Amino acid sequence: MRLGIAVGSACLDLALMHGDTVLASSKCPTTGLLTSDLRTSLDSLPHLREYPVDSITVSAGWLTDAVRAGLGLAPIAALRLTQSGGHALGPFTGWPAALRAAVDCGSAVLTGGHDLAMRQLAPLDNDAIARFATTAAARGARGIAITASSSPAAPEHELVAAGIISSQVPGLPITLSHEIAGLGLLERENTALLNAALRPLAERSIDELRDVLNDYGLTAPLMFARHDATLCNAERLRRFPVTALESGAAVALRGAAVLAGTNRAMVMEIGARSSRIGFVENGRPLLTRHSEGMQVPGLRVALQLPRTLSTPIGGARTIDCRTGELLDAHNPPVSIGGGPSETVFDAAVFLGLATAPNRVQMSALAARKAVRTATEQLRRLAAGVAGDRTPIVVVGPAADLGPAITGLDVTLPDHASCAPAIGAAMAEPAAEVERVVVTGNRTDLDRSLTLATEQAMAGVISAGADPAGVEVTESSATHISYLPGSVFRLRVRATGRIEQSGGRR
Amino acid sequence: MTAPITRIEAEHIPTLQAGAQLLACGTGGGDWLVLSEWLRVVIERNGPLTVAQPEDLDPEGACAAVHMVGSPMLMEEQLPTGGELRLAIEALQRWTGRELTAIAPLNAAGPNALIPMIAAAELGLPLLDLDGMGRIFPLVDMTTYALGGLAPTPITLTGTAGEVILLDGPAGRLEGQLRPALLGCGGWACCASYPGTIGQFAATGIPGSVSRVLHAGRVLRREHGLAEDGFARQLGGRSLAVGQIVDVERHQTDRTWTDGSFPAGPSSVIIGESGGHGRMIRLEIHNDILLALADGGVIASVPDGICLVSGIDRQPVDVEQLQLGMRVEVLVLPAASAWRSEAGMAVAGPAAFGLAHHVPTGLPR
Repeated sequence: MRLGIAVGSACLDLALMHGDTVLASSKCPTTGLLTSDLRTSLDSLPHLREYPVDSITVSAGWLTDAVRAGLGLAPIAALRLTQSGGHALGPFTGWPAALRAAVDCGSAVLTGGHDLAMRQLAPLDNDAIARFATTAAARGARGIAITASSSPAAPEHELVAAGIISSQVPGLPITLSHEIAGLGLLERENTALLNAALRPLAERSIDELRDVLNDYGLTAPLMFARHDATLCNAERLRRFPVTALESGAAVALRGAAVLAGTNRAMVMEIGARSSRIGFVENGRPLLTRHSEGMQVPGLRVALQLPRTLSTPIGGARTIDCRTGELLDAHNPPVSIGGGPSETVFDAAVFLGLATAPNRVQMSALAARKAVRTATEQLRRLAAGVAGDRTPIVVVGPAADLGPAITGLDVTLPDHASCAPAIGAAMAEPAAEVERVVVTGNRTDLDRSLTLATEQAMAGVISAGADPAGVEVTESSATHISYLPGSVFRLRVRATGRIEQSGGRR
Repeated sequence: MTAPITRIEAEHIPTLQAGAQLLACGTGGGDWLVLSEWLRVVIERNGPLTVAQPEDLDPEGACAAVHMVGSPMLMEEQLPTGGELRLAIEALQRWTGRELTAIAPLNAAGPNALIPMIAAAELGLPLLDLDGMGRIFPLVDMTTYALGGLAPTPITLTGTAGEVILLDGPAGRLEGQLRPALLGCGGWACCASYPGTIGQFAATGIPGSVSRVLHAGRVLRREHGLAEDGFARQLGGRSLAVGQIVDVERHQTDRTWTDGSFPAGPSSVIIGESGGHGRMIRLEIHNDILLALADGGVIASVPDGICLVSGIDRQPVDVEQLQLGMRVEVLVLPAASAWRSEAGMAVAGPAAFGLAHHVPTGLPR
């Protein structure tokens, strides 16, 4: 049995799975207080203790929310090691001002780093690094992210700088960029900075979760969904919380595919405050190559995030019940149905397109107009993508509205409203390694690929996979364009599975 | 085609980037976050830059192509200090003794669509609305400028560590010197080349190329209601096939620059067409997509641009990022007419890339 817990900004979903079968699911609105929301949800599944739960996977939406809102993040410092001679684009380039203000506790660009051929760009200035660490700590930094040029190929300078900083300021958490991502310094640095800023929150919330779960007798290994709907264990998340960003979108897509029993689909997630469209290919979320999926404008990260399109139309979008106009998307959120203000959902119920215990009175004209406006906007969102006979699956808290409100031929699977929890429960461990190698011959290339493969396999085991079931699912050596044929980018991805037993206790 | 662009402001950057990515014909190495941020920072500091039609400027004014060479991916890793473009232009001015009055793109596609914009904004010079390729070709001398008699040399290269390298001499000897110098700079460098007059650029360049980048971006991003339908047509091209990638072959090579081959190594991609005739589409790639075959017959080739967009939301796809199972649409964008001449085909046609095929005739253009 696997328990999936998806904590979103509006709802907390639970799902108990045995293989592909949903044994139980529940959905509760969130109050913003993680532990009490979790207790409320667990209480709603009274038979939980009767099942032997082998693993628990959490989609930690509060980490994404923290980045979006710039709340709960730790002040951190950025150290970049690169050539001397100035820099056009310093750390925190392109960050939204509010987010930067929430975390930026100073940055420095010091000499160091390597070029592609592993030649040192400049020697490290040990004294300057030590001074920077002292200053950052004095200003209140609760973490440092170190990013050196070409560290995915030559990590030494990041490691040496980390040694200097930890002897100067013992106990200060350090994030090394080469442990986070591959080539692309700004995106790798941004990701390392977010990681550093999320670590204290992740530490705290993982401890709280573990305590609550223990109280309910849920002592199975605790796992976390990552940005691509794969998972890692709690220990790894403590060090790399940034990998959980946008996990909510990813697990919703994965969950939709499982529920609809399809490998390829367009998934429309109809939420309370917004709706989004994503895609499933080979049963997995379709990812952007980089950061287009990041829902924080201007902030680019080196994570493959689900490719989604969104619109601020959701079931709880408030309407004017006399005219049927959709009101400002920034109005205070209300629950789906049940007031205090009339919503798109209420209009759908009034027209008999959805069912609910309370039927709010409004003018039929207004209700039709509200539903029509919402329909048009969702259809426009869907029309922007090449349909090509792709089946459409609707999920999310307002999924019941799907068939009526989209006006499209859609699949509405059972448990659709809990798709994220189902996707979380079904997540499997994975790890990727990306390296650049300069090599003159085939033997060297093979040796580097073997090494990268071993690192990926070790990574997936340390993320929580059963060592017996690790598979290399992707392994490639690609020429880098416009350079001599001896420069390759290696990419290896390994996936595994977590051990499972079955049956009712 | 839409009206020519006259000014480039910060708000145009995402659109320009999308257009440049498509016109890069499957190459270009990623998102160029560094380039778009660099352009944004310079525009925010110096104000918008002017895009000029060459006939509006003094034809005797000095002009040069400003661009990068090497791997855009490495630029993402070894960041610019910000002084490279000015340094390259100043070095060329010192050598030629002429101060530039305008800047031209080498090729308004891929990263080199954005680089001359950064230089123009940095130096406060107008950017000519033309280019020398209409797409990306791998070598600096594969341009309509060179075809029209303008020499790529002298050329200056500047690296992030402050290196300044000037290469002069016959165009045919340039690549042999340039690529080792480039590796010495860490894999990418900024360049000023093709010193000439605005009149010479006007006579040899492909007109409207900078405006075309913006237009392509608007179609891709569906701005102003563009590309609701007739996507390929609005880009001035046609759709060859939609399908799923069934095989990616990376050919091993131990070749290096010394034997005069093109940079990087070749690869092939096989796409199983979905719907239609269910053909097997094979793309031959060497830096760029050179050739498309359907069930063994050539359906498109250089100098026409062959590019890939995601079959799902029609965003440009890079050959370096192709993976099995990915759904793609293959588009062909016809080459500028200058490339259709006998001399043009000798430089940029299939034979120039060592492909023993001919451009098919009678295909709709």
